[in-house]
Amino acid sequence: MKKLVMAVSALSAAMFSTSANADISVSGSAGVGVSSGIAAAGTQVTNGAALSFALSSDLGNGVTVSTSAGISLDSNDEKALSTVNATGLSNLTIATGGSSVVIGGDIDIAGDGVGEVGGVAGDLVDEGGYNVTLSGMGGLTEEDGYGFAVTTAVGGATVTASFILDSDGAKNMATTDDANTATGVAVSLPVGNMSITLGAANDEKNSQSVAGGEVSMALGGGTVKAGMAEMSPTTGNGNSTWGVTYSTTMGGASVSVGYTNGASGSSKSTRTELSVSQSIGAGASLFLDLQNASGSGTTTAGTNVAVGTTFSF
Amino acid sequence: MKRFNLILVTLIITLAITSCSQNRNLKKNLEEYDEVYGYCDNPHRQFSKREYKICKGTEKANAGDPDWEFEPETIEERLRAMIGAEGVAVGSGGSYINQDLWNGAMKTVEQYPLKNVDSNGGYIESEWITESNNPNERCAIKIKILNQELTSTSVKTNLICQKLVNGNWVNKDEDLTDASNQITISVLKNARDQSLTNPN
Repeated sequence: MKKLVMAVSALSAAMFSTSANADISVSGSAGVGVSSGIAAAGTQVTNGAALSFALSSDLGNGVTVSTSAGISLDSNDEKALSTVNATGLSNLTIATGGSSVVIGGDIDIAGDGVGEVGGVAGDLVDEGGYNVTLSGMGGLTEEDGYGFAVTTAVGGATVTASFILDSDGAKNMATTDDANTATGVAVSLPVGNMSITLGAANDEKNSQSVAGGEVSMALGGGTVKAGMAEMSPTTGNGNSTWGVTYSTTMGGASVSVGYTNGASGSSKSTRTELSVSQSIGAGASLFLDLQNASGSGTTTAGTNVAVGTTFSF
Repeated sequence: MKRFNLILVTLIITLAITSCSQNRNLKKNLEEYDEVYGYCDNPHRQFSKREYKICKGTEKANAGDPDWEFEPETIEERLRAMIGAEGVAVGSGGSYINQDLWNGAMKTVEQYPLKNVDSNGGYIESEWITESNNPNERCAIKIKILNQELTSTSVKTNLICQKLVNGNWVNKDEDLTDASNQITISVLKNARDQSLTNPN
């Protein structure tokens, strides 16, 4: 018994030996679900999982450096099994107590997406086949790229600003003279019992700019959020979106309902979503998502349904 | 657009320089916006696409749990939990954690209802503690015994306090480091008494 104890101790020390200031953490999730909608799409069963390793090191004086990598197969979207691969290691984060800087090839354009409120269902519901396109909803065409983002606290407010050197490269590098740049900023601050977030961004590649705002507050045991956003291209019609969501807990289940209204020129669409999740313990839950859309700008309007279960590791 | 880019680049550089010289609590701000947007959808947290999907999957798997926090375990913590669950002792004395510290921690929280007690992993978590004369505030104690040594650095204590605001429990906006340290001191004192009573 003593030899076994010593062997296990030596094995764990050798395999997972880390310095006193370095950590490797692991997280993962898996899910399986059934989606249904338009008859042509049929009833679809989808499953997948994802595993992520987060590596961090405390350099001392309150400075921490971190990155992450992992393996995944999307449980909410039709994917070929050959797409299961190792990804990540694309971003490097340097954080202090007052701010963080993220550098890498997968940097979100700050400010894009602020104000686009109303979507509460998971991605699996889109597999139902209805509501293929919705006019007037969506921000910048390019959402991320190689660059850097700075997040800092300014009193009670939080500010994130990002500069993308290359929104089109999908590489671990970019040159400073690349034309596909993008910039953005998002600011969140508490105002009384509410939280307000404002964002603005622009993308040189597609000559688009967005601006939006959203406000959240506690209401009736839950949280209500309302927002609006405007995407303006240099030419053609842009998108004008507004929406509202309400999230609460009912008898241990998490319930969210959302409404989104979008317009692009004379083409309009509306979307209503419902999401219910019930924890069944040990990091597992059951979910039910509904999505209904209508309007002249909605392609194949109808109601998609998805039910399934999700696990966390 | 060029002017917009120039303004934003200037803002980014200014933020990066000025934030280094100012004692701002970004972590606290991020945690407050986690309460509003959810950890995964916090507009000030940067996730890769895969990390975001894992975060949302984990969030969904813990739906309805008001105490859920996105805190991935380290490999070391997972290995120790697995070894503890299988009943294989790691280290000498047949136990991974210091027994005097464990007994001292149990004595410290013996008057409170306990939510989670893991003698193999050395973790104790109390239920929410409220006082009859102040029902709009509650606190919870979390104690972790880290190793087999009887030292002050072998105990990690976390005190969480919340207040009732508009029907919702929100974390109190105060520094609880001193209170957590007092609990740690109590654990160490009780552990010392235990070691003196049972020197073997």
